[in-house]
Amino acid sequence: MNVFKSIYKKSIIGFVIILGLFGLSTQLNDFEIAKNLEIFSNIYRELNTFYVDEVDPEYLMETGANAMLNSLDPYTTYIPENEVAQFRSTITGKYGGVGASIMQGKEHVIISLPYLGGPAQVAGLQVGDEMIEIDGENVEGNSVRQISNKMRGVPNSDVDIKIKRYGFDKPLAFTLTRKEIKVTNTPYHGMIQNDIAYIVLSSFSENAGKNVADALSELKKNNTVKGVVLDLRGNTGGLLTEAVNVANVFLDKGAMIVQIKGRDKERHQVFRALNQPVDNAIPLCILIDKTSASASEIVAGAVQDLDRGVILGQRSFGKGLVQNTRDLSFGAKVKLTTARYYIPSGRCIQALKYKNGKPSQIADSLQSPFQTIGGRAVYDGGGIKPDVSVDNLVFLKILNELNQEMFLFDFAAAYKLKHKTIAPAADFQLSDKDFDDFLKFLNDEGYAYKTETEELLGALEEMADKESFIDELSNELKEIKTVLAKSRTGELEKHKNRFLFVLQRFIVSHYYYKKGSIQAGIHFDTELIKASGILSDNDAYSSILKPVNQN
Amino acid sequence: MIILPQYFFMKKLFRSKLLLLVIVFSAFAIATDSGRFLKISQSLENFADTYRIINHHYVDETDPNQLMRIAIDSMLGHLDPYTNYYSEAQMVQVKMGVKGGWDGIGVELMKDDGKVVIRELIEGTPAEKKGLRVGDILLKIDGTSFNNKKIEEISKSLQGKAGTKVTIEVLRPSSDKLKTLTLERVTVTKKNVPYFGMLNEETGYIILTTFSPQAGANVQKAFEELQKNKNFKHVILDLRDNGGGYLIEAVNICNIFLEKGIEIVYTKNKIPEWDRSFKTINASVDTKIPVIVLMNGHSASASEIVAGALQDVDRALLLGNNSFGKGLVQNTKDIGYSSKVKLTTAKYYIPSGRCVQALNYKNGIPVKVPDSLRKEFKTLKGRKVFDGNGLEPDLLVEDVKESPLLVALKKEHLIFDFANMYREKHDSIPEAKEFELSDSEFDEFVLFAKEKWYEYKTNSERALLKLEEQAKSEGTYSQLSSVFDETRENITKHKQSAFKNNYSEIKQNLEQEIVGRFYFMKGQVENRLADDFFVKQAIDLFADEEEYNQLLKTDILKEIKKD
Repeated sequence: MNVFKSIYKKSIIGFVIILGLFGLSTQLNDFEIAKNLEIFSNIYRELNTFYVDEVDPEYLMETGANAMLNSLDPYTTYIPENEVAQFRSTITGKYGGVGASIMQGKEHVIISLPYLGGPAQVAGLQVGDEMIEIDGENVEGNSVRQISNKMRGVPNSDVDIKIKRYGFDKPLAFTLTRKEIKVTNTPYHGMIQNDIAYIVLSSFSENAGKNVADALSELKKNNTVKGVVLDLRGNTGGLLTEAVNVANVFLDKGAMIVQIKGRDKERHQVFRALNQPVDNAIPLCILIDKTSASASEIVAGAVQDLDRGVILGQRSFGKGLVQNTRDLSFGAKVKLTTARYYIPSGRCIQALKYKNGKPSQIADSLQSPFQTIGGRAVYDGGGIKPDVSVDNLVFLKILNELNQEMFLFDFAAAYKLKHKTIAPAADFQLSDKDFDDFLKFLNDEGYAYKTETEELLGALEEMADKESFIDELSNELKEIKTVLAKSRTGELEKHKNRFLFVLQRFIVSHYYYKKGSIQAGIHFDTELIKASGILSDNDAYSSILKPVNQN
Repeated sequence: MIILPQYFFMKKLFRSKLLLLVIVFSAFAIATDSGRFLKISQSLENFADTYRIINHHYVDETDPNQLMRIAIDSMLGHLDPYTNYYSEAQMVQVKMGVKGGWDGIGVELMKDDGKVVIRELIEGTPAEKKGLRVGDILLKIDGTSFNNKKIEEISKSLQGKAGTKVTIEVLRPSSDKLKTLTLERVTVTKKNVPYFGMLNEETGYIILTTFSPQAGANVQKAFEELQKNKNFKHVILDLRDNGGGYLIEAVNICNIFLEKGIEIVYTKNKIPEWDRSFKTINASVDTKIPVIVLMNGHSASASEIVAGALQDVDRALLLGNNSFGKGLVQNTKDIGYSSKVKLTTAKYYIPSGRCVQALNYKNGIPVKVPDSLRKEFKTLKGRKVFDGNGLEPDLLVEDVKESPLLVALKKEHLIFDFANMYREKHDSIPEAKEFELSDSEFDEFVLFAKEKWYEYKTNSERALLKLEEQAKSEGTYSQLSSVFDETRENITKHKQSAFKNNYSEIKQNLEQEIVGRFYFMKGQVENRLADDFFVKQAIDLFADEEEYNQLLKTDILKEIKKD
């Protein structure tokens, strides 16, 4: 080894002189890489041979690999062979399965939504059914991911399941034949207020662009369309090329939509709209929320940067990093961030910086200004900031708490028990009495909303107790508690429409599945109502897109 | 392109090592099947590819060393906290810790506010003889300053072969004096028995701080010295805060009090052929003398073997708190490039057959062994003992929790700094066991520390600040601002009276620290003994022979909750 080291040192010196300009660090890295791999393999061998308990070699390696990859960013991950199929299905939107979404229930994993026409729905599985057994194996206590892996398989193969259903003493058994399930990325499109087209895009999987174009064309053919709402809320992204295709529906052929830049300068790429647009002039409003990410942000960002439409909702997630996968041996893959993307104004909207895996927000003061094509000021480093911001923070906090306890889910299930059938999705509307029932239900279940301030007061009490300040502070703490309790009454009522929106969707999904649920939500959709208002008011619409005069 | 062939060579080397590894491995792997073996080599290959890919293609430049560090630490962290990787630089510290000795000048360093400060000075070393003091700031070693070097690296550069010389530049902060000194390195040994002596006519006392080499011999020597006292009737062995060390030294220490041929501990490995039994191999020194072992929550590992074996054969009483509960044995192995891996290779079992390990690690996350799963064992004379939660003492003595003030003073190094200043002002102090801080000196400390203490944010104050911030953003602040102010005032008042309320705790800690500056570890022990509640309890117990004997017949834990 020593001999080798000295040869190595000499050659490095020679190398510096000859090739000082490029990639010295890369060559040095190669030595470090080889050395580190040798250390790793030696440790790995010791562990597998001598560790006191039996260790799982795959698990051990994946643990190390994942920690290493996660230290770079959360999108750089190791995909073991048995998860490659699942990974692929997120891109194609296709998989072999029974056609049902599942989620973690209170005790077991439950069916959260069967797809209309899928094997699960046809066989009669219902929202809320608890998964007990798959192919004779008890799966109580399994994670969503484990169960999902077991339910998927080759089309035409059978899977036996047992479920527990509310109101039945014994588990119910079903034999389902898996089908190729294609999850549509455009679960809903239709008209609202007669002249506004509404298109929901839930994922940028294959054909997203074509599906949006077809939806718009169809609506234009059958209606007088004065404006379009493209709903990207909850859409966390997908294929970059589909982002370009979706933007292209509204943007002229040749428009620069996004460019990506990686470590290797020669591989920078510019993506332009390749096709004729469906409509390059129709007033457009894009809905985003804080989970709209990646490809959603490319579409919203390009539309914003080119002043092509109004962005409405909440500040988007802020993911400006592009991943690629590379094949490893034995069927596994690694997905890694290889580039950043830049939308037309030249900004990158990545909101978090990762240092040793720890994310830190890019401070507002460090965000740089850019200009849209018409001269409006926009910023990098913090997602897409909507042109029209609609705040829903307090609501989200409450919703999150309610979801954790499955209260909405339970309320919807109880509603389903009481009502065998309901009006068609387009007509169904929850009443004021239903909302009062909901409040009563929460009260009966013991839910009391606590503000963040109240939670922090709890933390203060705990600390004061530990540090033995508590006796001295008891009067003050009591007083703060009273004031805070008073300030929060009526918080649920304040967000009545938002709750009705969510409840309506939950309840209707029991009867009419996803499409019906979206349709039924329209009545109470705060953002959508606001968007169609703006699209119906030419002055309001164009004043938003006009640059503010700056001196 | 001279580099390329080398690089390929390197790659090849790596591959051939892998191959070699495979061969060696299969020879060892008695219990493993070929499926498992295949998994290991596949996993290794996938890991290597992943590592190369990210280092070459990740969007930003990567640091291969750091990435590997993270991978290894995380992998090992998913096993247990004792399975660790040590790079070359870290090995220096490890050796210092485990071996209790190294070649150097006799100082231990720390970083304080970016400065490299002498944290500890070993008695009788060149550093002490040349007049260095705790608190001195190290500026240069052999003419080189440190910039942002890590403390491990700086410590390493102070070390070298015994007999070689090193030149250092130090600054004494209290006098602003700059000195350049040349010192000759020696082999430095940190005493593992810093003190032993008679506490009264009859009671001997020995403290063992770590199970480094010679621990057994040193305790035995101390014991034999104590035997020279004519009225010597019983002995206290103090293992408080002793985190362990070499297993064999634990056996040697038990051997002082137990005859030859008694099994002290056996270790169980993955492969039964590797299991080992450790018995006493020498003649005992005294198998009859009453012994009390002091222990606390920081007594671990080898300490628990000694205390546990003596409890299991009914040879000694344990006094204090539950011990830590570490029943796992580690071994270190070379892994190339002067680095090592320390890994858990076995569990150990003490004479009753119990393992004291208190935590199970599931994917590295510690889970307490529930009471319902703790198994009952019998000592030699049939007393009930239980596994799975460290050792329970025969006589429980509660430990006192540190006050927030003391926590703050330690964190801000205020006791440390005050002791350094005290050393500067005083050429000598009374004997260690006599030394006491006067009221005016205590007031001086209060004056010195109080500003920093008031500025210091206790956890309660931090929580209050957060609460206020949130109230501002939720719009309730204006209604609450006056009560927030009152809360703050009350906390401040409470802080102001903290020096009074925690007077004896702070004073004791100050005295300990100051005594250490003059008389080192030995003096600190002596000073503490004057007012040591655990020791007092032990002396009282010895005085009551009936009680002592009764406890030796009593079940350790009368009842355990089984649900």
